[in-house]
Amino acid sequence: MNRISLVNNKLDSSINDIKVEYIKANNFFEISKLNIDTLNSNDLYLVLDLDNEKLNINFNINHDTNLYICVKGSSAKVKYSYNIINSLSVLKYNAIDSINEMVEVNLNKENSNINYIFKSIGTVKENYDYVINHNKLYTISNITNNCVNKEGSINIQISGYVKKDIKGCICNQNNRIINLCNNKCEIRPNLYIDTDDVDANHSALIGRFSNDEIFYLNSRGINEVDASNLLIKGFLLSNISNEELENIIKEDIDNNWR
Amino acid sequence: MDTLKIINLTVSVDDKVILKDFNLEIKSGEIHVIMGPNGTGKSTLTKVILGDKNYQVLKGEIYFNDILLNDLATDERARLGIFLGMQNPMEIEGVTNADFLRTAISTREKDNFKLFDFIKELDKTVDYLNMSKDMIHRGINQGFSGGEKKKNEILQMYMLKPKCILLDEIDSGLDVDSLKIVGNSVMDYFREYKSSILVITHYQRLLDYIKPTFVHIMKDGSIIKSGGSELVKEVEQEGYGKQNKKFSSIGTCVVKEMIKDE
Repeated sequence: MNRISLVNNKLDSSINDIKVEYIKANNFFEISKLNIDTLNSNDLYLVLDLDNEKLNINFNINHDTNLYICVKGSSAKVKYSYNIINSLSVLKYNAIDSINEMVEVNLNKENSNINYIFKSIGTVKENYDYVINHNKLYTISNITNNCVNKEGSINIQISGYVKKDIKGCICNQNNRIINLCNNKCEIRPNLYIDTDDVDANHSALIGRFSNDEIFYLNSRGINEVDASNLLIKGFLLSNISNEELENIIKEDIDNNWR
Repeated sequence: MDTLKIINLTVSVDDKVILKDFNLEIKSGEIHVIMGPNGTGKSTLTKVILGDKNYQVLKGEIYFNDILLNDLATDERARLGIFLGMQNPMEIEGVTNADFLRTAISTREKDNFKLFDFIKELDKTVDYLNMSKDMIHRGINQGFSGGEKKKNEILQMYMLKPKCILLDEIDSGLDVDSLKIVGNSVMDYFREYKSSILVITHYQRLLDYIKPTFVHIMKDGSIIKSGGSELVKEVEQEGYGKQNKKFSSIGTCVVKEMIKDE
C-alpha cells in the first residue's frame, strides 16, 4: 500500500502513481500545505503526527481511491479539501488530543462519490466542521462520524449542499457521539437542499449505550465495566477494514479503558 | 439440586402493576411451561428474574439455591447460572459473537479460561446447531434472521452451561426445521445437564419437542391454573377465556370471586 507520513514537519513517502507536494510553513502565522493527487486507482495510508500545527491538505481524487488516515499528536488545526471526480472511500481515525478540523468535500463530476467513516476518542477538545458540496448530478456522499467522548468535548457541524438543478444526488449524514462524561457535546447536522430530486438523510445521536444493550451483555454474566468496554470496542472498530488502523484503535481502547 | 423460588412477587413498570403476588418453584430436572394471553406478564417475569432495571419489584423475593437475588445485579445473577433466552435478542453492531462469548466465559472462569478449548467447543456447537461458521465473527445478531437469532441464543446457552434456563418465546420466528433443531437441542441439554427450564410459549408446536413437567396458565400477572401437558391441549381447544373460570383450586379469595361472577 502507498504510504505518506508527515511527522514533526518531515514528509516521508513510499508511493506509486501518486503526486505529493509539501510546502512547510516558515513561521507560526503561515499554514503548511500538503497536496496529494491520485494518478491511478490506489490505496493510500496517511499518517499525520501534529504538534501545534496548522495544515491544509488538498486531495485531488482523479481515480478510485481508498484512503486511510490516522492523525496523532497534541493539537492541530487542519483543513482537508477533497476534490473528487471519481470514487473515494475514507477511513479516518483521530488519536490526537485536541483538534480543530475543517473538511470540505467537492463532488465535481457526475456519479462521483465519497464514503467517509470517521472514528475518534475524545479526551480534550475536538471541533469538526464539514461542508459537503454536491456540485454535479447523481453524486453520492455517505458521511459517518462515530465518536466516544471519554473526558473531553466534541462538537460536530456538518452541512450538505445540493443546489438547484443538481438532480439525483444521495446525501447522507450519520453522526453519533457516545458521551461517557457530563461534558457538553454537540452535533449540528444540516441539509441545504434546493432541488426536489434528492435522497437526503441526516441523523445525530448523543448519549450513552442503551440500557437494553447493557442488559443483554449483563444477562450473560458480563459486568457493567466489561459490557461498556465491549460496546466501545464494537462501536469504534465496526467498519474498520484496515488492519493497521484497527490495531491502533485497539491499542487506544486498551490504554483508555483497560 | 438447584432451585429457583419466586415468592409473592409483585412487579410494576411505569406505575402499572404487571406481576401480582406471583409464586413459582422450579427444581433441577423440571421443565415448566408458562402459557397465557399477550400482555399478561410472562416476558416481564423472565426479565425480572434476571434483574432488568426497567422493572420495579414492589414486594416479594426471588431465590436461587437459597441466595436472595433481589439485590444482586444482572451479571451476578447470570454468573450464578441463570440464563435468559430472549424473545427479541439485541443486535449489537461491531461486537462479534466470538468476542462476546469469550468475554462472558472468561469473566466467569477467570484464570481457568482456555482459549483453545473455547474455540474448539464453539466450533462444535455451531456445527451441532447447523449454523453458519461465519456467524461467530459477525456482530451479535447483526443481520441475522429471526431463526438465526434464536439459534444464537441456544448457542450461548450451550457455551455458558447454565443451571437454570429461561426461554422466552424461543419458538417465535422459527421455521419447522429450525424449530426442530432448537426444540431438540434444548431437550438434549436438559437430559445432559439436568437443569431447570422455564419455557414461555404461545404454541403447542414447541412442546412437540420440549416435554414439560408442569404447565402453568398465567393471566393478569398471576398463575391461574397449573397442571400437566393436558393443559396445553385444553388451551389449544378452548383458548384462555375458559381457563379463567376454572381456578377453584387456587385459593379462597379466587373461589369467592368466581362465585360472585357466576
